[in-house]
Amino acid sequence: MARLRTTKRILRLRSGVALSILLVASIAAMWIVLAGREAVATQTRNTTCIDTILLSLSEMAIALHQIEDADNVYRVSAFESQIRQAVVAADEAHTALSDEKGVNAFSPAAQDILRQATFNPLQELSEVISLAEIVVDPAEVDEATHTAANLASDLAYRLMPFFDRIRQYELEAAEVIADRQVIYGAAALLVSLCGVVFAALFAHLPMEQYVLNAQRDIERSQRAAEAASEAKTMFLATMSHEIRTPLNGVLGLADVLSDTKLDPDQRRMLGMISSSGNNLLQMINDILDLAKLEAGKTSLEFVDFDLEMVCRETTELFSGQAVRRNVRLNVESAHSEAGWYLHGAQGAVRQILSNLVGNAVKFTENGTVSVRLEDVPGPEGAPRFVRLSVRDEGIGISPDSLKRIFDQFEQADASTTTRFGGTGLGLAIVKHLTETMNGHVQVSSVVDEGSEFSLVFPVAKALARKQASKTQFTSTFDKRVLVADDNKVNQMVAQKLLQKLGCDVQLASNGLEAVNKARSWAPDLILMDVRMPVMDGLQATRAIRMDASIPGSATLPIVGLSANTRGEHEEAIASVGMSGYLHKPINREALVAELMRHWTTEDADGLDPNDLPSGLSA
Amino acid sequence: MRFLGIRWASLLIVGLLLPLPALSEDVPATLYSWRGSVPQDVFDRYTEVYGEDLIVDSFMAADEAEARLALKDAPYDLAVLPIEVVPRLLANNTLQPVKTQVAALKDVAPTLHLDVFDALLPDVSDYVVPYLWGSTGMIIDVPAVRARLPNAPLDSWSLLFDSKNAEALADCGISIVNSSQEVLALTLSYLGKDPNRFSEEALDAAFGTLSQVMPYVSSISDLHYSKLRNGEVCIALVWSVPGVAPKIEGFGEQYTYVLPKEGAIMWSNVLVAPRKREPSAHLQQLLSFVLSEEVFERLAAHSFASMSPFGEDVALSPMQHMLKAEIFPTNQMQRLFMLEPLTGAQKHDLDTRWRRLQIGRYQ
Repeated sequence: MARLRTTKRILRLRSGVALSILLVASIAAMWIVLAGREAVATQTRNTTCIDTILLSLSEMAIALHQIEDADNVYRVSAFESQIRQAVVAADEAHTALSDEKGVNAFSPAAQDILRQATFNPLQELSEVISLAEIVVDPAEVDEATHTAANLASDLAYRLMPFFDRIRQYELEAAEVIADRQVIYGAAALLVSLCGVVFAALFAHLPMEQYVLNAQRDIERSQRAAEAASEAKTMFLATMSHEIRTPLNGVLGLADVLSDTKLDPDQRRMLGMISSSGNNLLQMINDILDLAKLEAGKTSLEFVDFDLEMVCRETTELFSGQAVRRNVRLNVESAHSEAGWYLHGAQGAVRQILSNLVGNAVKFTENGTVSVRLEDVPGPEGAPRFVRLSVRDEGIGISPDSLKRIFDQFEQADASTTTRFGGTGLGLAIVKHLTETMNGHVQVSSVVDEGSEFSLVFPVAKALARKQASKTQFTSTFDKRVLVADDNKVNQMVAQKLLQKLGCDVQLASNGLEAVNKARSWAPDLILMDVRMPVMDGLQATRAIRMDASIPGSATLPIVGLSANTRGEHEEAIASVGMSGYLHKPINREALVAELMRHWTTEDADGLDPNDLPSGLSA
Repeated sequence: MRFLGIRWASLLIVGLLLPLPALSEDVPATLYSWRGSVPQDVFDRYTEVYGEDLIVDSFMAADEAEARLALKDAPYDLAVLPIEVVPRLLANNTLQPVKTQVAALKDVAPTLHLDVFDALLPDVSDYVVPYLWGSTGMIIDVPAVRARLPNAPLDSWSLLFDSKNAEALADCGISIVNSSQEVLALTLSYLGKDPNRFSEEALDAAFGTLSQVMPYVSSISDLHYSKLRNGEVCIALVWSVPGVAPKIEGFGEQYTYVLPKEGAIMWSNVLVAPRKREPSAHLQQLLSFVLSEEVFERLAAHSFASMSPFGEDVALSPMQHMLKAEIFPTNQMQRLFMLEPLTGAQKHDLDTRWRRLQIGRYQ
């Protein structure tokens, strides 16, 4: 920065110098123009004055000469008139030249003549005028008139070369001035060029280099920031995986433990363990989601889905919480000509709605949380927009807090965190996701009356017709399942869940073991952790698919397990031929749904419908 | 309509004056001298010697020449001027030094006294070459004067400047040379005053005297030769040039040229070189030609002027001996004085009064 500041100061200095040079050149040019104008005006005045004298002298000389030979009074009178006019003109010019200022306006050579001691032109001109006045004086006798005319005429003839020489000098001086103006103008132009060159060499080009350097610095900083962001994302993803792996164990074991015989206190404490674990898991997911959104690495999956159904399902997830807070959940959808089966980012909508409804229930007590779905009318030909609003009757948000409610780690006020918990990331995720869908979200709220969050986003017409939901029924599976996971807790969770579903389970701690077990034990399905020591799940899957000794190796269902969020391993999983994917920590509902995706209803036997997750029911 | 012609003529004169082209190398040698002072055979001689034409531009009065040469770049290689004019032209810086250029001509012109002005006018001596000499005196038609003034002294300016005498001689013609300084100096001499001291008082006295005689003066002129030739005057204040002409040329035996006892003028015409932008290509050649013994003497004889007023010079021709005797009579030499230069302002003042005198408005 010190270098940049120095450069900036120097550039300013140089620019100032260049501008000063140009300013000086401009002022000089202006001065030259004004001086030239004044010089031309002066030369014009001088030349006009001398021309007047010359013309008057020549008129007088001729008239004075001719008046001597005039043979009648009329001609004499006419000559006298001519002389009078010439005298008046000469006298005016003489008066203009009589003072020092008038003489000083002439060129030095002309001034020498005008001031010369011998035969001074101005003195002699005065004498000519004086003699001419005698000639035209009616009181004079003829003899005196003739003598005066003769003397004046002679003197006028002698005088003319002096004024003619003065005129010549003035014209030469004018030429010199004109030449000097050109030289001065050229000098001013040269100074301007110097200014331009100076500006180009010492200001413009360095400035250009300065900008380019700054741009390079910015790009370098940007790359560094991107790298740092990448590293942060990687760190978060890694940490997420590392945290979720043991958490998966905690939640899974809690789930398994809940199926054992417990006294009420133990069951209450186990519920608290599950609840805390789920909260922690949600927090981790939020942080990871936000990191990915900020890094621009979130790619939405656009599918055909029933938006109204998603609203109902998501809202239903909070029914238990709502009951405890005496909150009534209400989902309503306006009539839509296009229907609510459409093409859009189902996962994003579900996540957004989950955040908004969760917040609404959390901040409402003894009230109603309404989820409303409606079309947003727009101009013809525009994409279809829908508005999804969640309205509660909770504590509301103050106007000041509304301005930053969508910022990260921001809640209405500090007491909110204390009172209601949460990370303050939910609404930031909502905003990011909505904008990623090219939509926008807004909020209106009245303190102590409630809040309403509305998001408007574009959707498209569904690509395929809606298929009727298959009616699922519950059953147990009499199948052999191989669980490959390097984490013993995860192994145990999966084993317990599968055994509870009637499955025969064997365990493998790495990919190599899994391949060997697949050969020796011939499982009906393999749950394969993606990341394992010795041989990871992807390599193991590829080996199984290529091993002809394994019965049905090409079609054997192999379901990938990963603590990473969905999508991160999806492409790799598909490329090695895995049949499905389960997100860790495994919960029973997802596991059952995945098993039923691979096995026909004939494979199921007598499963208690109450054990199935509500989202899987019709 | 006729008088519109004056304006057009004036414009034509101005138009002709305007170009005044600079002299080029092709312009012939040009001499500026008194009108009629250079005979045709001198022109021919110049062409014969140098194969080039000689141009002589002339003037009628010294004031005219002074005015012409008071301007720089006068188009002459060499000019003839009264010595008293030179300091004023030097004040205008319109002359260039010539003495060094003629020093080598001593052998060419043995009668030339180059150092004559060294002590007398040291400031101008480098700029002039002594040329012709003469006097300004009085020529008298003795019978005519005696008929009117039987007892008047013939060797005194009182014949002219005494108004009673002037009145008596008015009918036979009185003429005065048109040279203000000379007339005033001689008037002051007549009045017994220093002829070169032009104080206000002296001027008033001199012009007072002149204004009294002016009614009887028939002409103030530069053309006395023809007036004498025609017998139009019986007394005149003249230069020796026309003054000795009757004697030399043998006409008008009634005329006598005298140097009055109150004082007369010894004048000198000198050669000067006008200062030009480009050095004159003909100056040296023209000086050599004019000062060569043959040409110099011819010019002096033609002008009825002396080549030198100093001492006995055996080298002088008979004609020069005769002219010298008439112009500078040995027994009257002590009456001669030379004019001292006036400043430009003094000359202007003098001329202004002189013109007023001529038109009868001097009071």
